[in-house]
Amino acid sequence: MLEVRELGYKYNHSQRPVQALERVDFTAQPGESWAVIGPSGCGKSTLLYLLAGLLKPTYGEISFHGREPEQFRHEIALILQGYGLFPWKTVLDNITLGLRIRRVPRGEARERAQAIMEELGIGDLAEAYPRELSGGQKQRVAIARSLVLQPKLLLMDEPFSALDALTREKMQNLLLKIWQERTLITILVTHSIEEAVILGRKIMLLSSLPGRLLEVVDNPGMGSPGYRSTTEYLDLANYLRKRLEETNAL
Amino acid sequence: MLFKRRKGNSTWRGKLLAALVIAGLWQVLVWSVDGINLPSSWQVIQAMTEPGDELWQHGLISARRILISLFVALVLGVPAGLYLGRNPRVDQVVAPFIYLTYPIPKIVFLPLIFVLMGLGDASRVLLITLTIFYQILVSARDAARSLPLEAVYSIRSLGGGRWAFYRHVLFPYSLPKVFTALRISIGTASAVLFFAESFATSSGLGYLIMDSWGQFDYEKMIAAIAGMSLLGLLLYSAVEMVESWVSGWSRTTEDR
Repeated sequence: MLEVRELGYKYNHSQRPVQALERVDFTAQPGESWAVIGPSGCGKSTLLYLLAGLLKPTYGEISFHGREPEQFRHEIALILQGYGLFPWKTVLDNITLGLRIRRVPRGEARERAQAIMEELGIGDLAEAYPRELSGGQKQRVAIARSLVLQPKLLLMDEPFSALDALTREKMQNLLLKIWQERTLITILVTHSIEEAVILGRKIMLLSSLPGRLLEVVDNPGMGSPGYRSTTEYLDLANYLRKRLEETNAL
Repeated sequence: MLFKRRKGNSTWRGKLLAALVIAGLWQVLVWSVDGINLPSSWQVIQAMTEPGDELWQHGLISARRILISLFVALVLGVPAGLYLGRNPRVDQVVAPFIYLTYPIPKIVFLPLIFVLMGLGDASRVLLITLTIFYQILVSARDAARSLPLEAVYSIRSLGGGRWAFYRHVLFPYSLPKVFTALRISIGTASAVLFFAESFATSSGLGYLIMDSWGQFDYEKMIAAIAGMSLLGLLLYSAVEMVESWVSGWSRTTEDR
């Protein structure tokens, strides 16, 4: 269980401090997938960085099964917007890096990486360098790099925004499959309403700066086959669009 | 990068061809200058390939001096530069010292170093090391500064600490830029080497050039100059080889 209480963050690096997040409260259960949506620059990414332990909260606290962030760092995986792959490492070395840092022996790390790569359909790219890959392939490598760590909390920052429409849909389906096969909490930040409805069992709506939690929308139909063409899906998308427009108008 | 580097750009065949053209031009110069007894290209080549010739002994001494200097400059300059690039507060204190001493041509310290450290090899090596060290330090620092924040987040989100950051991210990221600095340094190092060897010593190519000049032995003098060129070429090629071995990933980035 991931508990976030009164979470707030202030950026202090310029002369004028910027309040990026204010009093965000939510609880996520294992096996749940969350989508975070809001106007651009509303602190969505900040929320992920806080959860990932890359930034320290200015206010409030985060706990995972009752433990402090420092104690569950190794159970979190983060997929960055630009994938965060290292161009000087091969696909295999990129994927095994997290395991090597955790002192998993080389042979075992390779085996685990290879298994994940097969699952994601990139089994034959082990020796390639990131620059040789297409956007969709890079995205798969980034996902493999996270999943190989067997995280309990998977965080994704706009993971599919740079992909073309068809690849994006394919990746969304792949992610659904991954999520259904594992019991992990996934939290995905997106600016696409459709993506939020496809991938979020719970959809978190943030306001424009400072980002406040406006509403958590339940999305029980998510993940069912053919969900994209149901009225439920369309209604929810329309509702979210309306809410976002209200926020932007403020 | 403005120019794409392609395979075949620096093949041995190309270098041999360039050497032949230079030898030809030299020959034209020899024929057109009257009154001075300049050696022909052929005589120079003969002087260079004579077995057991002193040219090679002096060449080896020079090579040793440059190699030690390069090594020391790298071992000190790269870690220091990377550290400064990632620690702005320390850099703020150190940077003024660097900017004050960097523009001084290090060759002017030659007398001072000789006074302080004597006329031995160490003085000459120190002078060359100083010259290269600054270039390596500054380029490593600038490279470390330019690292995208995403790379920092990426390694930290994988659970990497300070050591993993330096080993898996900062070092490999900065290496191509350090190599660029190193290749430029080789030219400067050769120039400093000549100065350092032309004074108060009896070994090295620089000494050989000045000594044979004094003896009007132009054949030996030109051969030693060609030896300098050969030394630079070998160093340059060695750096290129190591570079494509350790940071080949950066090579063809622009080709795609």
